[in-house]
Amino acid sequence: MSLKKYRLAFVLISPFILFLIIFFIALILKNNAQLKYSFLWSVSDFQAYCEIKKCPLRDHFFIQDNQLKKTQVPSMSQENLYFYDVAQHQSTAMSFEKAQHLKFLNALNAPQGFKLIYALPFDRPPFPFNFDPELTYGSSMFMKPSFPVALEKNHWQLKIYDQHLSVQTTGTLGASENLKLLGWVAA
Amino acid sequence: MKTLLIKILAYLGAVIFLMGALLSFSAHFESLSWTMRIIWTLGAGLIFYYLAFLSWILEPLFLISAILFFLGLEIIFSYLGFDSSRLFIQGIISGALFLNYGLMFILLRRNIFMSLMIIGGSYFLITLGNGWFSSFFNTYTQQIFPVYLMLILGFLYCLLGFVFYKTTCEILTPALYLFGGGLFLAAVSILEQCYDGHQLLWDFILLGSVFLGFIFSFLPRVKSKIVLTWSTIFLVINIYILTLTYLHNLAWSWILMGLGIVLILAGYFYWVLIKKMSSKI
Repeated sequence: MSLKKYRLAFVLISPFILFLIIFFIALILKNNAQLKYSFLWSVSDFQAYCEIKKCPLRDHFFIQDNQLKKTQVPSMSQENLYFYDVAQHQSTAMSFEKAQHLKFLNALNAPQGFKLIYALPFDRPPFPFNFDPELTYGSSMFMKPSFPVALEKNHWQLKIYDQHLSVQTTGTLGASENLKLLGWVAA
Repeated sequence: MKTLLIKILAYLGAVIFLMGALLSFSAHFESLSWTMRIIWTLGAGLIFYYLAFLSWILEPLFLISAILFFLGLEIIFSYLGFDSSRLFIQGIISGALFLNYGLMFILLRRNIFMSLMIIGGSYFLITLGNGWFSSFFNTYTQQIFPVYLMLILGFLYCLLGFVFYKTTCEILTPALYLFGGGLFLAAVSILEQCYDGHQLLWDFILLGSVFLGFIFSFLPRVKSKIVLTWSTIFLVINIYILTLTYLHNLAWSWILMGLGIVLILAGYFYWVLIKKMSSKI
């Protein structure tokens, strides 16, 4: 084959090479964010406005010495616990009594780079056809539509909670202060 | 003339077809399975890509296929669980398309590939700038970073137009000067509004950018009426901006009169320069 024919042949197959390269980049990013451990997470549901010192005492959860602990602090929000089971790929509500028996990984062994976010619904048209101002910016902070909760690393997102939680923070999408990844559960 | 008309009709047809197809695609998106979504975008893109090789009249189909490839690659990312609207993902896709069309231009030397390469490269630069490079600066600079990108893109388009002089890509120079000149001069004017704390310096930069435009338009390799027109338009706009800045100055009435004379002179010199340029070309 002449050089011109080689060139033409390359140009004809180049879209397939492009698709494969993009597919492998996406696969590498996804594999790098592979989830190996179950984890405990919490969401703070806004209850009512109050002066912070006069707010009722509510449970606040944290991990200390690889165990779940709780303390009571005045707060406008009620913190609820959820357990994401990596084997069953689903989150379930969990009481503190049950969760305190879980053994958590210490910070050195825990997977790095993951964060909990409010994600846009996954099944939507690609950019730029997916912009929905009503969805992204609700008319007020209490009338915002609800978003699925997702675990994110390398821009790869794993939906961990399907029943949409109401976003009641001043932020819009993305990382929110009322979502907390408490700790990774040792297998 | 006939060739130009055929080309205009072909490109117009491609754009109208694409608008209809994309509207239909986004409207029915939720009812389509992932396989159908990929067939609708990457599959259709491939068909248009191969059809475009049949005749030069069908060249606009490359544009349709490039947009369908972009959407299809976004769908691949979405299918694998990524948020494809993130700048990082947009950057990967636009960067890959930029390299792909760059390679195709090197192999086949067709201007359509250079155009697609410039579009892909511009979008890659925008995602890279907004998503990564802006993070090195303070919060305010991050907010106005799109204006800096306008400035950089405008400069790069003008530079490309300059480089393409007497090459196979020379046909692209009017479009490059049209977008480049407009973006560069508009960006300088917007930046002046953003940094009104350093007024005197920016007053000089504002006027300097316009004079740079005038000088550039008269370079032997350039001789561009488009840049000259942009420079004249922005001379008027910038004089207006400067006048508003010094609105509460006691010499306001004098500035107004001066502005009137400057505008008349600007119009006169523009007419003289256009006449001179037309006689040279």
